[in-house]
Amino acid sequence: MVESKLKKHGYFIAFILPCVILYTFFFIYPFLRGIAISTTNWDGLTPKTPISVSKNEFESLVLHKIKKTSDKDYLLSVYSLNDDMNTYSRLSVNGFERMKIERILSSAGYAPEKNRFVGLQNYADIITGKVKDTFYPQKYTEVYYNAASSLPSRIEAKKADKEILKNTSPENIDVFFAHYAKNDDFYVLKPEYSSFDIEELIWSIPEHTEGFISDAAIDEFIRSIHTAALAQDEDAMHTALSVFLNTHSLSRTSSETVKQASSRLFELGNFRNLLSSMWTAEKTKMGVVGFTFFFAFFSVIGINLIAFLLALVLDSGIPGQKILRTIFFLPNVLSMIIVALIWKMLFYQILPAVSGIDIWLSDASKAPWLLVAVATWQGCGYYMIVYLAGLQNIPTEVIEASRIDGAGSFQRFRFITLPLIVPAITISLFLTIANALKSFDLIYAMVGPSGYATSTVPFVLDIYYEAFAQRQAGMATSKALLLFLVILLITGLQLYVMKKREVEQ
Amino acid sequence: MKKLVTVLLALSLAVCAFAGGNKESTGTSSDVIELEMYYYKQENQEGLLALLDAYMAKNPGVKIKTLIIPNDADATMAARAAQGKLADILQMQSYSRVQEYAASGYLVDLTNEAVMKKVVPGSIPAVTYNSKQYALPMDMAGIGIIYNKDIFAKLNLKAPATYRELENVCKVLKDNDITPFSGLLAENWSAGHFITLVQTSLLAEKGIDFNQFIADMNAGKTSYGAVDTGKLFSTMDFYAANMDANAGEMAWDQQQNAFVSGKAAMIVQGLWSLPAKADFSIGFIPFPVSNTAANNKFYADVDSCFGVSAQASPEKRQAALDFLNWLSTAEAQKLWIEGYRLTLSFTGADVSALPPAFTDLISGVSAQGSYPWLFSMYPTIVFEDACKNGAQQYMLKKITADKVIENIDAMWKSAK
Repeated sequence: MVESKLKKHGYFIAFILPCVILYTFFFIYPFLRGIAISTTNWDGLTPKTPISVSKNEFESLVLHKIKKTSDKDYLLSVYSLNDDMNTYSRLSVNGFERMKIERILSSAGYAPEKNRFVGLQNYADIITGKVKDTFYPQKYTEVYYNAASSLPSRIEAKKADKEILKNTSPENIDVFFAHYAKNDDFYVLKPEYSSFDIEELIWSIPEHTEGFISDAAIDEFIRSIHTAALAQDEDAMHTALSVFLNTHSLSRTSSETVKQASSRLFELGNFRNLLSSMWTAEKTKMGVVGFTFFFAFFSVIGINLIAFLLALVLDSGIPGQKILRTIFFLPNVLSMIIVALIWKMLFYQILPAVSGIDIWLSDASKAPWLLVAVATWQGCGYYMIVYLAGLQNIPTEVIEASRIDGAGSFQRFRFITLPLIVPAITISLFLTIANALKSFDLIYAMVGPSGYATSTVPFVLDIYYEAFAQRQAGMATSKALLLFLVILLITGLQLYVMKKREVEQ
Repeated sequence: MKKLVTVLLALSLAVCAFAGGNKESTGTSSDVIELEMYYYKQENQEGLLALLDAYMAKNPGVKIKTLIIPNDADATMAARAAQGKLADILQMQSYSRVQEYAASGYLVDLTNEAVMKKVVPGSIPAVTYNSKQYALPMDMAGIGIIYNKDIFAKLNLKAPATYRELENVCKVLKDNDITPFSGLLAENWSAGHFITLVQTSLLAEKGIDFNQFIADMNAGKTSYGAVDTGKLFSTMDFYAANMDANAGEMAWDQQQNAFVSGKAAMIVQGLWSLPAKADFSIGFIPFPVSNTAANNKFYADVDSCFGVSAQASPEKRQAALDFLNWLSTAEAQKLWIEGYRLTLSFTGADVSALPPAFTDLISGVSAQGSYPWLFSMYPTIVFEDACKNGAQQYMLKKITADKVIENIDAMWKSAK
């Protein structure tokens, strides 16, 4: 049947045209704007057409450089000199007026300081690594103890064995155990090495408690001894000591006490330096880029594998199949934020009580895996349905025929099920990869505010912080466009590879 | 007929698509001025509404609508500013927010408004840009130690006035199996406040002028580590060492819970974190960084302020200014303090209706003075990234002290 031309036009106007218009307004136009913004150093706030400019700047940088008088007149009809005669300002203008002002200003070569064209600088900075060091994977040294602080009063024995004592010389181990004694699961600092207690000797000399020496003087003295102790500079210690003893008249016993306490603090400096240098670890942080790929890789594998297994089990005709299907699908009905809050509660309240392990989401070695696990838990139900549909689409004749031919269950899976389910795998992989690379809500709600510390900030979250918390809209937009390209490339490649493997039924 | 319907449908769809972007028509009658007020303190909205109702009852010619955006208030306001759709009255954070918006020309200069004369002089810098005032400071907030007075009384402890006393207090608390500080390390902002609080106090100890320090940092002439960094980071370590072992897991609500339940005796927080309900009495003291008691002052400053949008039409602008002027009247002040339970930045405000912790703040500030929120004067990215994330990562042992300073210096340089 041939449709009339008018009918075709009618369909076009009724359905295609609105789509094209909406697509242009809500995708193409913002996308092009995004490209434009990514070539600026915009802070997300400063408009291209300033709302107020100082008189000098406006006159010398704008008015004097405009050639056409009509342009100048137009600009002066929008901008007016304020009462105080120092600034030009404008009221709010509509889109067309704004475009016209923008054109006039750019022809005069004027751009606000924080909304200036910088070309491909943002992209160059990202690619050459001139971005914050949380962005790319990085090797770094974790220092657990800062020598300037007082010694930890106790250290978990398991931790100390692993982090301090494993890679150090026997002499150092002896030194360590001269200062710390084992008590149950902890190594506890011996009281004679507590700098708080040693300092207390100085603080409690009668000259101070009776008010002849001020808190400030004692504080200054103790701090100078600590400085000398960390530098192991004996001269500095003796100078500090003699200055203190000369400025304040102390009784004989007091000055003895002060001398002894100082030399004990000085000796302690040695051990503090030693502990600080022993108690370190070389680590790698994934950074934003590393974590995004880590999360995408493992959550895609996790979701698809589990979804596929669940689908196989449900397809095998076990009893209660419908109920199970509903149960497995249920997490997907919940909003991501609710999922995040449920799991946050589990990690904070339930799991520590059950397992006795206190630290979950703030542990950099666990947090990325926990996030992958939650994402898998939430996502696999949905893809299970996709796989189930794929499995139920496989014609029973083919399976029966293979049975008659004597194929075992593994062979049936390998040579019948798998090839015929490739379309379902293609679409599931495509969706999970794209979603994982863009993931935001779950991670934001679970570890957002501590993400940089545990290196669990995905790409989109980093963009969000950059644009809105740190006011670098230009840079953030460049990152967003790069992410778009990466997703396009990876999913494109995946579709290309998978399409080749699909077989005609 | 069918064709006609199809075409009409298509047209109506297209019209809808376009009309969505249009501005709504101003449907108010000519003599009522309708103002929009942007506001982010969700927790205090009843107080604000009472204030607005009282004003509108007196001035039937003005109608003030509120737009309350509690989360990501800043991002939303920036997006509205970029669209040219700012509300007429804007509630903002002091310092950098005011300065940013003033620098971009979004705010009306309030320097010569009568109401500015009634403001406590100490709060003026918080709303100043290029030596002009662009907002009306509203409430003062202080950061310090909020402590459980009952626990202190039971253990015979007195509120610490020096660092040494604080060390002693923590030791006694620990010996009695009470966590000294309820931690908050799952979020970065509190650690960010802490590092700047200590650093500011150490600047004062060294006699470095705050404004000079900011100017020198901007010029790249000094370093964030110009203070005694050993003391800076050992204070942070001391704070972390006296928190719960799982402080890294604890966010704001967990910190509150631990404090309210009496498991922990203190929190280092601003008064916005004062528990609404607690069955013990609560005191508020400065965090004593120094061993000279006189150097330990509240880290207190103007928290929020009201500005007027420069994009508003002249009539709306005038109406908004009239409203701000009305806020300093005795009637408005009374409503503010009783409804809001926040301190006011007006001179001679009667704050007796506020909880005792506020009285501690006000008397502490008037007796000893206060340190300004210097972080509000840092470039935005420095505080948001290098300070907040840096301090949090340091306290979770992910980054060294030197690296924190290095990052702050480098980011400050690139921001200016």
